[in-house]
Amino acid sequence: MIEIKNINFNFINQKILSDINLTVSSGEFISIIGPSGCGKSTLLNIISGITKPKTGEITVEGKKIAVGDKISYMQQKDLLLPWRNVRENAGIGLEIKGLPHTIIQKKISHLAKDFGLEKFLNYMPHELSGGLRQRVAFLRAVLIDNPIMLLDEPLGSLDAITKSSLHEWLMDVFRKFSKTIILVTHDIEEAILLANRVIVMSTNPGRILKEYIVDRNLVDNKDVTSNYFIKLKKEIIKDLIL
Amino acid sequence: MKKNIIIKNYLPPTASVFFVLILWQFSVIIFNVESWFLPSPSNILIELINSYEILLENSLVTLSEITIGLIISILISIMISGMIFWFKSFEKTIYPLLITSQIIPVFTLAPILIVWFGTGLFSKIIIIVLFTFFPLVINLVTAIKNVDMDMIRMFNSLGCTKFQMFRKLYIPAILPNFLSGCKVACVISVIGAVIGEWIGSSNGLGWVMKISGPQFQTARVFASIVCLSFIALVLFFTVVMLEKKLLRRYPN
Ligand SMILES: Nc1ncnc2c1ncn2[C@@H]1O[C@H](COP(=O)(O)OP(=O)(O)OP(=O)(O)O)[C@@H](O)[C@H]1O
Ligand SMILES: [Mg+2]
Repeated sequence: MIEIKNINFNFINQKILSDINLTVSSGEFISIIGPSGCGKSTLLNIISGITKPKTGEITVEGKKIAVGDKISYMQQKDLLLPWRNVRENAGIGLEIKGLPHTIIQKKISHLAKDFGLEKFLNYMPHELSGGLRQRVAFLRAVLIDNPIMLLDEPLGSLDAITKSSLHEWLMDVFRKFSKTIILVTHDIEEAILLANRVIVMSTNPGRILKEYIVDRNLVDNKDVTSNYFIKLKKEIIKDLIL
Repeated sequence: MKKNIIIKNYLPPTASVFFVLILWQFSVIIFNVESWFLPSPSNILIELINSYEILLENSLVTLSEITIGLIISILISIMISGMIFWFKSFEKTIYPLLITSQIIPVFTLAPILIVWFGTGLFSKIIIIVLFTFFPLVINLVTAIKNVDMDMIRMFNSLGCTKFQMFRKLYIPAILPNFLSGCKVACVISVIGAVIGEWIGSSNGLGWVMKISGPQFQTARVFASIVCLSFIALVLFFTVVMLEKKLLRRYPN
């Protein structure tokens, strides 16, 4: 269980996040959606521990945790190291954890196909398109294999087909390994398709506006045309327009 | 195809150098310039061959001063930048000192250094270090400051130690700047060596130039300059080769 309590955050004198309270149970898949600049990335930075909030605290199972412990964070920028090839970039997290080279390579080869990266493992980042770079960053975060994953628009610039296959794959991983996932996205359909709860944020200052429980029994992974789905989508759009 | 690229890259500079040399040679002949005033390139070449022993001996002296000086300078700059990485406040402490050390023209210190450390190898090394460590340190400090904040955060979010951060992020990130600092230092080190030898020494190419000028052995002065340029070129291209090897995988 992650508890996000009374988070306030200022940048210089501007209030960026105001009174964020959110409790995420283990095994939940949460989507966060909100207008650009409302502080979604800032919130994930704070949850991951790389940014200190002005007030408030984050606890996991009731305890404060060290940065990098239990939480994998895929940031919005791909942040690939230009001097490392795809393989070496993907493996950096495990390398830092001290895993032996051969095991890291095995894990990468094992997952590369799911990410559509098997042909590109020896490419350098500057030789890849934006979508491919994002997949490498995604793979890097997934490989670390922490129980909690923060994903900041992981599928932002991917084509629809790759996106949909990664959706399925992500749901698979999520169920099989009982992960807890917080996903930031701009894509309302994606938010509903994947999550059991959608958090809508509003801007100036960033705060939680509304929260929707998604009945997973009524949402099919691919079907975006059911009545339930469309109704939910309409409500969220209304929130975002207001 | 590869041959074409080589021709395209090396032909123009080689041709222009030859053009200048030929122009020089013919001007000296046509205007009948005396060799003690301005020796022709062929005169300089003859001098290089005739006094190759004295030139080689003193080139080796200068080269060893430069090599030792550069190595010490590089080690000092790495130490300082390491300190800046580990102790944030160290930068504020060292920066004013670094800047002040550059306001004093180093060559005015040279006579004092000769008084303090004698006319041997040691004083030359100190002068070379004083000349070269600044571009090295400045390049490193700037590079350290420019390491992408988001990358640092990313490494933090992976739960890395400070040492891992240094090894896996900082060292590769600052390597290109470090090598360009080395290139500058290589060229400057030659100037430092000559100044040191000029002011107080009994060997080295700077000393050869100093005693040859007043004796109107102008060809020998030029021959020494050729040797010095050759040393600078060799050092410079050593770093270029190193760059080619170490930065092979970097973009651009
Ligand atoms: N380092 C910074 N420099 C300038 N502004 C900042 C910085 N950090 C945060 N901000 C401000 O904080 C606000 C929230 O930024 P954040 O990146 O969290 O938004 P976001 O919701 O992730 O936006 P997007 O959907 O575009 O990614 C923005 O208005 C931004 O201007
Ligand atoms: Mg963002």
